[in-house]
Amino acid sequence: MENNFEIRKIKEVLKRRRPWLTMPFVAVFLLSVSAAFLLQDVYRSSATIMIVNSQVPTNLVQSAVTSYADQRIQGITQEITARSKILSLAEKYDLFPEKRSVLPADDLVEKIRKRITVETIDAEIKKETQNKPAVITIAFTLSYDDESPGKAQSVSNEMTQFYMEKNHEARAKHAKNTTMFLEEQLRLAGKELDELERKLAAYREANLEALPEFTTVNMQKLDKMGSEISSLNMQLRSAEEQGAALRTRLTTLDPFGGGGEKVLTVSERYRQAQLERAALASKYTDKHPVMQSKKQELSILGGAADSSKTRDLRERLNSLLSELADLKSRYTEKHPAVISKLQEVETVKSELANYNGAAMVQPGRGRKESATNPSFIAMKTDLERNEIGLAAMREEKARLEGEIGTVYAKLHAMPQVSREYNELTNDYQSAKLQVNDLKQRLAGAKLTQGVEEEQLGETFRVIEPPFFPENPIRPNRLLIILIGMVLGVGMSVAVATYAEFADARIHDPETLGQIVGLSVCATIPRMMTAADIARARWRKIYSISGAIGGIAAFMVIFHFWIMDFYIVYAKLLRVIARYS
Amino acid sequence: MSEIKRALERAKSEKPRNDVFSDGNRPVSLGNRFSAEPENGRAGDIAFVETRVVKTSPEDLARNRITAIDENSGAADQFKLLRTRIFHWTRSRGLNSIQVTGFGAAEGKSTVAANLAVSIAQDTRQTTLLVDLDFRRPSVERLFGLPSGCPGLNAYFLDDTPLERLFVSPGIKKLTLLPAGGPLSNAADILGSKKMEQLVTELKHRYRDRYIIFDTPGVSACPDPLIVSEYMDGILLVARAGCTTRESAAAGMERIPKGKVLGVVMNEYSLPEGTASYRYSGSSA
Repeated sequence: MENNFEIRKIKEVLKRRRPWLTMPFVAVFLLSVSAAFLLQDVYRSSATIMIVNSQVPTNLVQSAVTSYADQRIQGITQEITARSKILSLAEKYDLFPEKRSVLPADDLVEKIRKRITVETIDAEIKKETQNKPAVITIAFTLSYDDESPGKAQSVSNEMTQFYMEKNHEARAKHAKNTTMFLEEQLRLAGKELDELERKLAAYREANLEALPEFTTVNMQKLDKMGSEISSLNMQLRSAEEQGAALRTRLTTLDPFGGGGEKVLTVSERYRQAQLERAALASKYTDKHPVMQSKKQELSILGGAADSSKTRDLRERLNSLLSELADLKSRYTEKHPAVISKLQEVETVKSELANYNGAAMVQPGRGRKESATNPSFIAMKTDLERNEIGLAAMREEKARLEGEIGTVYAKLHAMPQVSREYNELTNDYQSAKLQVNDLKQRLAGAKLTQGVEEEQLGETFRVIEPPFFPENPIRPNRLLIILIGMVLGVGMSVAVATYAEFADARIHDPETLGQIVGLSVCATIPRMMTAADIARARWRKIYSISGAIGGIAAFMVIFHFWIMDFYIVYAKLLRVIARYS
Repeated sequence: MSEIKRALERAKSEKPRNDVFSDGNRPVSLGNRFSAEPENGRAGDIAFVETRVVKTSPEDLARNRITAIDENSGAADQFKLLRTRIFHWTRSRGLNSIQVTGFGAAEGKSTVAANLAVSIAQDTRQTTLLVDLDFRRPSVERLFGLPSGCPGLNAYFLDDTPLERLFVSPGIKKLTLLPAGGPLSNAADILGSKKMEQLVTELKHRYRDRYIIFDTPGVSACPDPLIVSEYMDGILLVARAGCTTRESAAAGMERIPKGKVLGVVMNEYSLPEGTASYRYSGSSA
């Protein structure tokens, strides 16, 4: 009963609101139909571009391009949707021919931009190392929509080419840039290495023996020099002893005392020379060179011969001196005997000096020059030689000692030098490593560049070039009409519902009973008179003819002002062909 | 249900005997009809003599939606139901004056009143008087096709014309009309006057077994029906589907003395096909 009542009520409402249910639906439906046929066909031409992975394994040649493919696609998309690029495309392919001159450039760019579609095709790839599958872009489609299928294809084609070129260019450039950068780095590093090498060599040269590796050498040297010095010392001591002994013996010898051998004195030689001159004078004139030389010799010897007196003095002096020495060995210098002897010596010496003049002042010289005793002379020579040897030895010792000082200095400086040297070495080593590293990298980069230039790296490959679209992708007429129908139904329901709820009138006895507070005791049906029936018939006729007229008017307007029917018919056929 | 059924059956069984126009007595001579009247009426023979007769054809009546006259029409059944209910409510209590009113305008109050009057008149036991108290838009004359200028209640109020001269018989057995006669400008004052009270008392008591149906305007249109309701035994409300608003119905109920309301009738409402059998079983309780 209750259910029945509800159904009746709904039926009543539907009947009551029939105009509100039908009119909006018809209106919206007609609108959607005309919209469906009014909209221009839009064709889409698209290309599918595959992202081909590097043909050389990445563990063999490292890719210089580390960005992801879709990142690059995005980048190129930005480039292609740049204002200037789009405007040039519009000019080149005559896009939006009737709107181009009217629309502001910005709007035109926006319209064209909306017609470009780039869609990436992703694949989920399960990697062993990751538990989450990685999404990798394996391909992408590039499409352009236009009212003209030819234009759509052309633009799509151009865009595809642009993508290919840009990608290759970007990758090659990247690889080339890497190489160039590495080369520059290597050049700089090489320069630095050279500099360090030079510095190191100079340092090594300057501080060669102070370097740690010379420690043993230096020590050996020190040892050697030490032993040399000690042997020198021994030699010195013996030489000094020898010298002392010689000197002692020399004092005991008379420089002028005769030895076993005949030695011509000055006076003897003077006499001999006189004899020789006499003999020569018989042969040569005075002017003859031989005569001249003999003359000269005589004058020299004569001077000396004059001192025969001094010879006595000297002999006396010598004896005095030996006496003095003897006294000195027995007594101190203060002994009166010594003093008296000394005075005697002095007297003799002054006498002698009177004879020989200034030449005789130096006793040694006088003694030497005048020494005639061969053993004395030999001993004297020995002594001199001994003295020369001593001096040499002392000199050698001083040199050695100086050298030892230098070696010590070097040993002292060793830690500092070693540190500096190590620093330099380290710098050098690291620079060398860097250079080596750079060299390796450069080699890798050159390889990569080669790969990129040969297009063996990750590339784009067109697997489906832009085709000539046969069927429009838009508008989906069926869908539009369907949406129109749904919308119409919705609209009708909404309008009817509104009408029902906004209606303040009472339509059924139940409502009336509720309001009045009584149950309705009778319902009187509408009493139809003949006039009513006739009126109803006329109304029906009017409304049907009105509807027919309205549709006819719509069709006429559609045909003459919106679209010819044969076009509609053609479109309809195409739509049917497409869906069947 | 059974009660209603019985009533319907009785109405049907009485039909041949009560038929006014059918079974060949058309055209009926006036003399026959007038002479026949007193036989049924118990009193007031004079009234019949004095009553003017204005013959109306069933076609005219049908044109004016007085379809209760045709007992085969769907509407006639509904009016018989309504009549039965009214009998049920009034007879036991000896009530005989019924005011028909509504909530607004154009709700078909006069049509319902006329049809109800016709329907009651068709019952063997009852005579009916239909009084038009709608002085703003009198409609009884129009509904029964009375000639224009036909005198009515306005003459009673204004010129003290005796009531006997104002009754009209529309040529339907046991039905008498008391038309308004024309609009009255000060209807509310007149209806509230002593004369009005005397009129109602007079009408109510002249024939005890006669039902008097008063046709009045809607309660939201003017105070007339409320003034009149004071003298009435019962009030029958008429609402029209798709016309009467919720507001006017609610407001009307506020004004009407609820104790006198016999019931509400919904006019111009048809049950959708297939559901008609259900409707009255619920409301007969």
